[in-house]
This record gives sequence, structure tokens and C-alpha cells, in this order.
Amino acid sequence: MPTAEQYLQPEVLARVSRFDLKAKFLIEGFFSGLHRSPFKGFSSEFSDHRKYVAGDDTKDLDWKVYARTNKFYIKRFQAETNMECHLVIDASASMGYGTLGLTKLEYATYVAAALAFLVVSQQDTVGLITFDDAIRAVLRPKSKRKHVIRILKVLNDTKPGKQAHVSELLHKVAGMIDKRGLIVVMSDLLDEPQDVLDAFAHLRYGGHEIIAFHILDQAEAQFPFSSARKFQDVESGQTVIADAGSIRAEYLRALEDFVGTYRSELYKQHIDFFSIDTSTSFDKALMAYLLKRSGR
Amino acid sequence: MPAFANFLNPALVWLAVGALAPIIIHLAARSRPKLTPFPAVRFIMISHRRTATKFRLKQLLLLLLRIAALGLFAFVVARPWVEGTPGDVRHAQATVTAVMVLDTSYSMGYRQDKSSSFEKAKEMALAAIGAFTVGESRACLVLAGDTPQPVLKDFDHAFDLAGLKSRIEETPLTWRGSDCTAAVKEAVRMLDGVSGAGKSVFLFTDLTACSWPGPVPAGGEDADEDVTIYVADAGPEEPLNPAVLAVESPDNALSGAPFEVRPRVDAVGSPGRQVELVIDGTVRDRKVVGSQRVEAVQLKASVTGRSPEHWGRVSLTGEDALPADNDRFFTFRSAAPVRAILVNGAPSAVRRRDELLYLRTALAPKGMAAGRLAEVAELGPADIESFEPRDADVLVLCNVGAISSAAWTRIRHFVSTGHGLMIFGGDGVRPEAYQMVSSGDTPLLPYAIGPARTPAEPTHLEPGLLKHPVLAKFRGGRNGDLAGARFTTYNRLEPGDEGAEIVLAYKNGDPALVAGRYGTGRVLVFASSCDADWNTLPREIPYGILIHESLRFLAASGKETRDVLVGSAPDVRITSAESAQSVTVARLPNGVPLDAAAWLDRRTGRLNLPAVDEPGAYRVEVGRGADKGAEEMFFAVNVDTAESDMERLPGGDEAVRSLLPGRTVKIARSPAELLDQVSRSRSVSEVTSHLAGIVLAILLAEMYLSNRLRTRAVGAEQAE
Repeated sequence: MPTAEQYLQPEVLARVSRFDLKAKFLIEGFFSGLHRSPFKGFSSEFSDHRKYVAGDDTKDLDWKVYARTNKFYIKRFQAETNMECHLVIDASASMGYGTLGLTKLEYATYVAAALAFLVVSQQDTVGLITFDDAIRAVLRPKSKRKHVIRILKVLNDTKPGKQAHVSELLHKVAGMIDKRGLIVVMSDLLDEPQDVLDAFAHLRYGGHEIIAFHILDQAEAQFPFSSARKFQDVESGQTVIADAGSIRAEYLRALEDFVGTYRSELYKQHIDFFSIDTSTSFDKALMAYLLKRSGR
Repeated sequence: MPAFANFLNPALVWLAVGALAPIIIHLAARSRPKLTPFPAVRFIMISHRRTATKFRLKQLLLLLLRIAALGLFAFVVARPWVEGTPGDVRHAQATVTAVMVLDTSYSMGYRQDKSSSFEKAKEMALAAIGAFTVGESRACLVLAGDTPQPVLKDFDHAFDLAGLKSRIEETPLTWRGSDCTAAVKEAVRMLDGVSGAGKSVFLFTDLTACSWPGPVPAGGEDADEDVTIYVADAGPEEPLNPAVLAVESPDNALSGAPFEVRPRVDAVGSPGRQVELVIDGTVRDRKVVGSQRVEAVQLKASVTGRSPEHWGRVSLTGEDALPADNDRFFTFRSAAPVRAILVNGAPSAVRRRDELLYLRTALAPKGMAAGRLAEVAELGPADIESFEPRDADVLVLCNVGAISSAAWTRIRHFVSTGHGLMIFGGDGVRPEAYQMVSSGDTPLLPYAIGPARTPAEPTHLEPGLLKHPVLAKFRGGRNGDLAGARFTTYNRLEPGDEGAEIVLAYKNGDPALVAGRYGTGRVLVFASSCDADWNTLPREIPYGILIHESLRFLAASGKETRDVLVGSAPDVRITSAESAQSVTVARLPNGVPLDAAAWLDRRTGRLNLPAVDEPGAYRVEVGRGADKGAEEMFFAVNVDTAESDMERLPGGDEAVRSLLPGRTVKIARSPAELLDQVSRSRSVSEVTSHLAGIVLAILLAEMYLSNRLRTRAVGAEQAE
């Protein structure tokens, strides 16, 4: 039986059949890993003091109190509870592509489920929006654990839909979210980059913090094909015959340009951009959220 | 032109069709690309646009490399050779299957710059052989005489190049002519059916026009056309070859009487040289010749003594580049006066009316002792049946009307045994009496004697070209004009025997004097009378000469010339064959006698000598015992003066190529040039190796390009 940390690997997690268990194992694995990480006292604000006992970390000593009282007190933190987190999942047809026994959409839903658990455990509210060619599911942010169950159920039921224009849907999402919060977008972003960037700017205009997960399948990221093939676009049905071996270098270069454009332009908009593929360990995605959350 | 002019294995060129294999494989193995659903097609399209042209070019280059490799491979195995740039010929080595053809005709003895054409030809032949690869090349040898003579003809044992060199070095020059057409044809025939690299014929000759009677046929469908012919020209560029071309000598000289020998001399470029006449080893006459191309010379001599057999030689004296044709030998006989029996068909007591009046006068002219020219006896027609053939050389029938069958039988026997018969027409001649001997399978008379004809106007003789020996003394306008006599009447002569010839004719075309042969004897028929009844000839100067020459011509019947050309066997008949005790043959003047008794056929008297290869006068001596003495006779052997004509093939190299149609012909005029030509055939291996190198380079390029494409694909597959 895999250890908790091994569930962070997509191929291991894929063996788990129940979706709720997938999310649970993922979170357990994630937190198990955190014991050896420097992340402590994250996402919390000062609450009160208690007396120092042996074994406490001296860095949490409140030196001002010590100056006044000449006694050692440890600072205690209180979690922030007023952050809304919106998980925006691209469920278009292209997200249904996967070559490792795991589609991009499945990868996104696993990350989203784990994030939902994580957010609620931080006493924040978490909501969910899925879309393909239109908005398919909307769950308003709440902090109840039952709400997480609902989110998991929706995610579990989410299947790849039709061809999506990510930019258009992001514009719609921007119009749906009033309160400032954290928006986590999970998509392959296979649209015109400038349109998508405009949509992100629209989101950013609302004052939201944004994390963009650019999810690619490993085959998309590495293009491991050879010989002549007839490639068919999974959304538009458009085909092209090409010798995969001979175009691989150019493909990777074009992909790099594509990703680079997002990375540089979104950075300018203070949007965190993470390009990952389906072979990437889940903790990297979750860590990205925590890094963002800790910076608030 | 560095083109693939020839292949050692031309049949394998068809393998070049294999160059189409990559195209066929490409078309046949072209499969429908696998359908692959993919989300990021937008990047593929971008990449495809950027790489499609480059990729197609690489694929095309790969295809071309494969086609080139396969195509050139076919050329490699077909072993092409090209005419490359002459290189260091000292080390040139060529693998050949060759026939060396060496012209051994006597014209090759022409000396220029201290060496003869034959020596130069040998030098070139040895140089060419030196360029052949030892152990791989094979070469046979054909000597190009008047007939081709293969001396080394087994290709299975033709690897001994050293032996071939020795054989060529030892080959002597001959006195014969040459037929290069036949020799090359024979050489090509020898190469037919022989498998081997570099099939070649090497001809070493002087390129005289007379050696090429015609072109060498290109060969039939099965003939091997892949034969390169190297023509090594060893002859002088501008030869001058004075020579004695021919000699007209008498068959039968009258003992004690002067006779003429008329050589024709090619005296070009040698003014002031002398022509001398030697009879029986003694110089009898000399003449200085000019510098004409063909000059007729008159030399005079006479013979006396008891021996009837004589030999002579006409020589062009002085230094000569080709002395082989400066001597011309001949034989002749001297005889006692002709013994003629005149049969008078119209005798008359009145002398001036006698039929034989003018004939007797002609045979015994005033001022000449009786019997000097001819010993004449006269008979009546009735006495013919009883005349003794041994007592006469010639029988002359003068206006004889009727002759009995027995008489004809005797006459037939007389003529067939080598005697002569002359018939004159006249008013007493009855054509029917001659009918029996002018018809049948073997007519005695060459023409049938017809009835008398009297033209409306008297006619004259048409001497024409005076070709016949009987008319020899009238040539050049000498001894009177035969055309001066008028002929009022003559017997018509109707064509009979196919072998007959008209010696003289009338201006109206009717035959006047005809000649024929019967057995070993000769027959002359004069259509008009021997007296002045029907013509005025007996009163003209030419009459006596014509009678004398006719009788001498007839008296020489049965004594055929024994003069032959080099390479032929003389026809020597020995009259005392049955009593011969020894027969020897010796070349004059100092040849060692050769015992020839074994060649004597005692039944026929024929001496079956083999072909004689050395010119000269030869003496045949037949020993008949101490009491009977020895019989002596001569025969002469001469070179064929056709070979004396050193005129080179007009038109140069093109003329040579036109004589060898449909073949690759290379012409060289020096050992170095021939070596250069041969060295180009060295390219047989060099071109092959170079081509193989190119194929290897192409394969390496193909492997690199293919591997580069494959590496990219394999890398991608591993990632997949």
C-alpha cells in the first residue's frame, strides 16, 4: 500500500477509484510532506499568548512582552476566515485529453478537490465554477465541510464538454464574482493568448488574487511522437498530416513561445502562473496555493 | 569526353533499373498516417509550416541518394571505363583479352630513320604487352600475311605474356603481301565467344592502302561488338618506294636472236638509278631511269648455247628503303627455229599464184639464212593423216578445203599434246569441212569458220590495245601499222568455244584473228587468206612480224610459265620423270640444293613443290644417270608488287575507322602513344574503384541523413 506522500504522484493517485478518497489521500500526502517543510504558521494571524514551555520554537517568542514582563510568552495565531477562494475549472473537450491514464481535467479536479479541502481547513470559503463552451456549474463559496462534499461531487461528475473559448468564459467568470478573493484558474489555456490575457486582466481588474494553473498533458509538453501522423484537433476536428519526428523541435519551440508569453504577460499583471503537466506531482500545485495564501 | 563509353560487363548495366527500387518501395510502402487525436494541433500546424519544406527536401535528398547509390552500384558491377586523362603511363596496367595482329608483309621492311616499320611494330607490340597485367591478361597472336595465320590461338593458354613477347621477337618478316581486313576479321572471330575483360585487337601495321581490300564487317547480331581495336601505325608518313613492278619477257626466245625484256619500273623519287637485266647470272643490259611513277623500260639481250632453259632478273640498282621489290625474276626458253609444217590447200605451178608464196617469204626473208627463223616443211592436205607430230611444232593449214576425219583426229592429238595449229581462210575453205572440229563439247577451233564474206567496201584491221602476245611487237607503233592493210574478203568466224579470244578484229567488228586452247596446245584462226587474194596484208611490213610471232606463240604451246608469286607452288613438269634418278631444287645463285625427289609424281611428271616463301630464280635439276646427263629447268618466284604500293590509306584516321565500322578504334603512332591508349583502358579498374568510392560516399551520406532523421524519431519514440 502506498504511503501518504506517494499519493501526491498522479499515477499512484489514479489507482484510487473513489473521488473523495482521492482528495483525502492527496491532502494527507500533502500535509505529511509539509512536516519536513519550512511552512509553519502559514495563513494565520496573531490571536493571543501562552506561556513558553520547553520545546517551543524560540522564534515565536514575543520579545516585546518579555521586555515588559521579563517572562517568556509564545505568540499564538488565528486563522483568517474572510477569504473567498474560487476554483475555476476548464472542462472543455481539450481538457479531456490524457495519455498517462489521467486526463488534464481529472488532474485539475484532483487538485481542485485537494485545494477545496485545504481552503476549508484554513476556515476560508471555497467555491467552484466549471465551464466548457459555457458556464456549466457554479457553487458559491462556503466554508462548511458539507460544502466541500458538494464540490467534490460536482468535480467528480464533471466530464469534458465542448470546444471552449477560454477567454470568453473567463470574462463571464469575472462578471460573476463580486467580492474580492482568490481565483484559481485551471485550464490548458488553448485559446488566443492575447484574448486570454485580456480576460485575466478583466479578472484582475476586479481586485482578485489570481493563480493560473496551465495544465498540459505530458504528451503535449514533450511531444513524444514519431513517424508521419494525422493529427486531429480534439475540439475543432481539424486535421494535419505531419512527420512528428521532424517537427518535434519546432513544436516544442512553439509551445515554449506560447507558455512564455503567458508567463511573462501574467507576471506583469501580478498573476501567479504555473505551467504543469499531468506527470507533475500534485504538491507543487498545492504549494503554489499556500505560497499565495501565505503572502496575503 | 569522360563518358561511360564502354562497360566490361555491359549486360549488368540493366541492374541500373534497380535504381527505381527506392521509388517503388516508397510508393508501395506508403501507408496512411495514423490518426492521432491531439489538443495542441495549433502548435503542430505552426511547426509543420516551418519544417515542411525543409523536411521534404531532406526526404527528396534521401531518395535521390538511394537512387544514386543503387544506380551507380549497377555501373560499378558493369565495370565501366572511360577515357581518362593520360597519366603516368609507365606504370599503366590494363587487363585485356587480346589478339595481337602483326603485319609481316614485306612492305613492313621499309626502313626509315635506321629502323624498319617491322622493328617499330614489334617495339610497339612489346610495349603494349608490357602494359598488360600479368596473370590476368590473355593474348593470342595472328600474323597478317596475304592470309591470316594464327600462331597462338588458344586463349586457355594465353596467359604467358613472356612467351608471347618471345614469339613476337622471333617472328620474321615475310616476302608476302598482307590482308589486314582478313586478319582483323580473324582476330575478332577468335575473340567471339571468349569471355574476359578488355577484349581488344592490337593491329601493328604500316597502314598501306593495299593491305585493306575492304572494311571489316561489323558482324551479325551474335557478333561480339565489344571489341576495341588498337591500330598501331608503324609505317612511314611519306614513303617513296622505287620498285620493279612487272617484267614482260618472252616465253620463247629464239636462240641467237635478240629479244626484248620490258620491265615497268616505279622510279619515283630516284632519278638516275639504273635498271639492269641479268640473264643466266650475267648482266646483259642497263638503262638509267627517270623519276616517273611508272616507267616502261626496254632492255635487250640474246641467248645462245645448247641449254633451252634460262632465267633472268631485272633489278633496280642502288640504295632503297625497301629493297625487297627491287628484283624481278623470270624464266624463259630459247628454242631452235620453229618447225612449221605448211599445208597448202591451193598449190599452183605458177609461183605468184601459189597460196604459200607470201608465207614462205615471210618465214625465210631475203638476207637471212634459211631456217634461221623457222624450219619449214610443206604437205598436201592428203598427207595430214601421215605427218609425224614429233617433226613439227606448228601445223599451218592454208586455204585447205577438205580434211578427213582421220586427219582431224591426228590434228587433235597433235594440238592436245602441246603443239600449235594455225588456220588461214581462203576461197578453197569449205566451212562444213571444219564443222566437226568447231562444235561439240571440246571443239578444236575456238571459232567456227563460216562462209566467205565480201563487204561492200574493203575493211581494215582494228589493232586496238594490242594486248595479245602475238601483237606485242606492234605496240608503240613499232614494226608497221596493222591497220594499213585492206581486206576485201574473209571467212566469217562464228563464236564457239568459251575460252576463245579475239586477237584482232576488223573495223566492222568481225573477228579477224582468234585464239583458243585445246589440251595443252594453242590454235589461231586467221579469217582471211595467207596470200594476197583477199587482202593486202601479205604485201605489208607487219605481215612477216605477225607470222613470226604467231608461230612462236603457237610453238610455245605446252610450255606454261613457271613463274609464280611468293606463297604459291610453281607448276613444274619434268619430261623425263620416268627416268629421273634424282631431283634437286636450289635457289640461285648459290642456294643449297634441296632433295625434291619425294615430291616428284613419276606418272604425271609433275613436281609437287610446296609453296615457296622466298623470291628468286630456282633451278630444278633432274639427274637421269651418267649416260643421259641431267635435265635442267628454272622457275621464278616474285613478290606481289601490289604490296610495293606504299601509298597510305587516304583520309587518315577517319579512313581507318571507316574500315572498322561499329567498333571502338584507337590509333597510335608511337609506343608512347599506344601505351597511353592502353593506359586509358587501365581505367577499367580505376573507374570502377572510383565509382565504388562514390557509391560508398553516397551510402555514408544516406546513412548519416537517414540516421539523423531516425535518431530524432527514435528519441521521440523513447519519450513516447
